[in-house]
Amino acid sequence: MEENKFLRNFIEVFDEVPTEAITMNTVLRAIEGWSSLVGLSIIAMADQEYGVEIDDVDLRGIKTVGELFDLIQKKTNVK
Amino acid sequence: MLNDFLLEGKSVLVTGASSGIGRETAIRLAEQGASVMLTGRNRDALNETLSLMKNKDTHSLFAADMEDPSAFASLIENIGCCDGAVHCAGIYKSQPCRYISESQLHQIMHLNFEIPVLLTKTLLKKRKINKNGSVIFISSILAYYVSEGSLAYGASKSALNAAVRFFALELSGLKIRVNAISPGVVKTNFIRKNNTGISQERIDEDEKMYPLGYGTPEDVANAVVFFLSDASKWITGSNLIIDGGFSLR
Repeated sequence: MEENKFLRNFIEVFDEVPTEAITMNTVLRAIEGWSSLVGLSIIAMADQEYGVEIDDVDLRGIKTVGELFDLIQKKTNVK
Repeated sequence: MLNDFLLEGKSVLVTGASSGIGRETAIRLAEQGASVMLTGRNRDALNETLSLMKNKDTHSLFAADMEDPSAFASLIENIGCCDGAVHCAGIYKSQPCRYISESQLHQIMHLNFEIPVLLTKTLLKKRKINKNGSVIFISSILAYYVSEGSLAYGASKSALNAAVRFFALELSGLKIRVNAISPGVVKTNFIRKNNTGISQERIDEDEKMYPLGYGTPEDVANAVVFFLSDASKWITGSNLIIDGGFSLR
């Protein structure tokens, strides 16, 4: 799984491109524009781009963009 | 008067009879004396439904994947005439509008709208729905009350709601009645399986939006009994919202 591609997919879930630079250390819920719909969109993005299922319990346990990357990667490898 | 609610002597087709509202409907119809034709994809699950029904030898079972045109055709060929049809089969998939995929949109519209409409049309063409019959489509309050991520599903049920009214008008000559039931969330595997990406905690939180709590499949099945029975013989083209008061807010 490629980091830059993942970051592009991640940025796409927001209504507007976040003004701050998004890195692996960025805290999800601190990003301007974060909402429950963004959460749903992350779940849909993981499904469509990577074919993995995550639910909002998974999501709640995740703090940073990097942790989301790791979770999706882990689930991709399990498949 | 109470006898009007019995379904004795009536033969009823139930789709999606392998689980949830469809299964409970089949069980309830059998209790009321109907002979039921059960359809669904999974034969084992249909047999399980049958094992829960009264008067087992009066019912019949047709395992068919309706997405497969030959299975659809063979179902139509093999079922007998009916006095009622209850369309319970359907799928849900949560997708924010930015993430709707063409294939999933197509599949949701196909299974929730096109198949029930085409099945009804074909039954009519083959004269397999008797005069004074009753057709019921299970819709959803998501056709009226939107929630994030449910565009495809809500749109498919809205389309179904429209179809109900056209059917109702055109079939009135045969005194065949056509109605929809729009339930709120009922406790079925549909929501329990978590294929919606929704956690149990979120579900519990959502249930608080329902003054009477979430419903059960029986709550919906009881309304189906009413719409199939002669007690509702002057009701057609209607859409009954059953949602424990959700839409009051």
